Amino acid sequence: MSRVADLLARGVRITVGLPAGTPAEIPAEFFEGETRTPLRSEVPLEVDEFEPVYAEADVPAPLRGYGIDKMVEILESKRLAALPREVRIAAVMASLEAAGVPLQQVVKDAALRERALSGFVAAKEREVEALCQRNEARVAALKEEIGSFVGDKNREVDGLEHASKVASSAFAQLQLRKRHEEDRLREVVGHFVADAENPIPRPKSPA
Amino acid sequence: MSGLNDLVRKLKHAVTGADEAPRPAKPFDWEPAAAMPAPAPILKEAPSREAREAAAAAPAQGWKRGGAGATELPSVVGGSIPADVADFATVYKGAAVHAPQHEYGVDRVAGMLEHKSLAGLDKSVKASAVLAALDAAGVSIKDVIHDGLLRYKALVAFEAAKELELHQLRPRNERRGEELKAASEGFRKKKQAEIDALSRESAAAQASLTRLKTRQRAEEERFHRTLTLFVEPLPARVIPMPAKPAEAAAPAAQAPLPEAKPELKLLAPSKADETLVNAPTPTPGDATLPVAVKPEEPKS
Repeated sequence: MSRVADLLARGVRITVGLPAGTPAEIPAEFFEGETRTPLRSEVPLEVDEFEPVYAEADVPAPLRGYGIDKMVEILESKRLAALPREVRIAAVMASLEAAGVPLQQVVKDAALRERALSGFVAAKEREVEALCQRNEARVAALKEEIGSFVGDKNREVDGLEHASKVASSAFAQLQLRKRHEEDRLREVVGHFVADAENPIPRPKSPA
Repeated sequence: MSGLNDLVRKLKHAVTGADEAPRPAKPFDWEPAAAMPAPAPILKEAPSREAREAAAAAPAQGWKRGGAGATELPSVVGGSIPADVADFATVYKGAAVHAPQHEYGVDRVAGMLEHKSLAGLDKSVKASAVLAALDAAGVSIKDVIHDGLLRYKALVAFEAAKELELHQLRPRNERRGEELKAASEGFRKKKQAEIDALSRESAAAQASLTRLKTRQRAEEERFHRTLTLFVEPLPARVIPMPAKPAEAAAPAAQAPLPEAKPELKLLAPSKADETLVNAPTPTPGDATLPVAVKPEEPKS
């Protein structure tokens, strides 16, 4: 829970002087409702200003322009910067009274904006989480694709290397058997011709 | 390529017998190819017209046949025959080397030489005996020697063909292996780039969310700082909370608590508590006690 929500959770008591007849307490129920919290926000995550967030949450415009932002603006005004705290508060209250805006409305404006902002952040958290999960799943699928493809190709390469080795081995065996056969043929023919005249040459010794 | 050319030359020489030239003159007129059927091209080299004519004219038997194509062997020396062929008879058959029509080829003569009746005799005696038998059968020893020579040449050609095949197979497989490795690496890089992009996207989103939360905290702090100048939270309400049934029944049935636990005292609420709590005063038999609790948190 945010600090503002915590402050307003049980209702608040106004600590500054109020016009006669104005209630000194604002119940928590006063801050409920009136805004909507979309599950998915159309406002981009990298929003520059929070105004689109408040607009999306249907936060009403402050009464006569006097919302929490206006109050902050008055308090941070250069004219009041050097003055004591009580004087600045009195200046704000005077402004509100002059504008006919009750303090309760300003507090409510802050509550609604805080709630809209929290809702927006929560929606963006969900979106980011969903994005990360989606990306993780895609990454896992891609890694599996890589493993499968590379595995297939490696097996094919291994098969080719194996085929080359088998062919080399078979050829070596052939050379050996051929020498034996040549020996046999030469020996048979050698019964009938002199060694120098034998048309079948001696097999060459293996390299 | 020069190695391959040497190999092809070697194969051609083995088949045509061109390498026989330097050998000394022999008493036999060896013309092995004359005994062969129509010659086929060696390594796709078309035979000459004369060779085809000579081969067509040459009978399958009778090796003393002159002519232009007389030195050529058929090309079937290994194309479909594996290097690890079980029996060289397949090679001879593939090269169209057949025993002479009178069936006295080198294999039969080898059998005659190894006959048990000639066992233990001198080599020259064995040869004389076989020659006598051949004479009796009207067979010239030249036919036998020619048959042996043809088989030898078929073997040489077969070996050369297989060597050529091996020399072609190795680089082909190496090339294919390199292609496969390149394809594999290309695929891996492409997919890795996609993985990296997804990882970057997730990291960027997380970073953006972190920045947003920081800004949210700042905004809330700004609101809170301003609001607390004008308002303060209402104090926690104290509401009555029912005691557990067992505890409620206990005071009446059990021994008095102060005796059991002298440090704990169950006292009636004071006047001030009454106003604060705005709840009925508990009696000894009452199951309610004033308990300060936090109210439920508002639903966000």
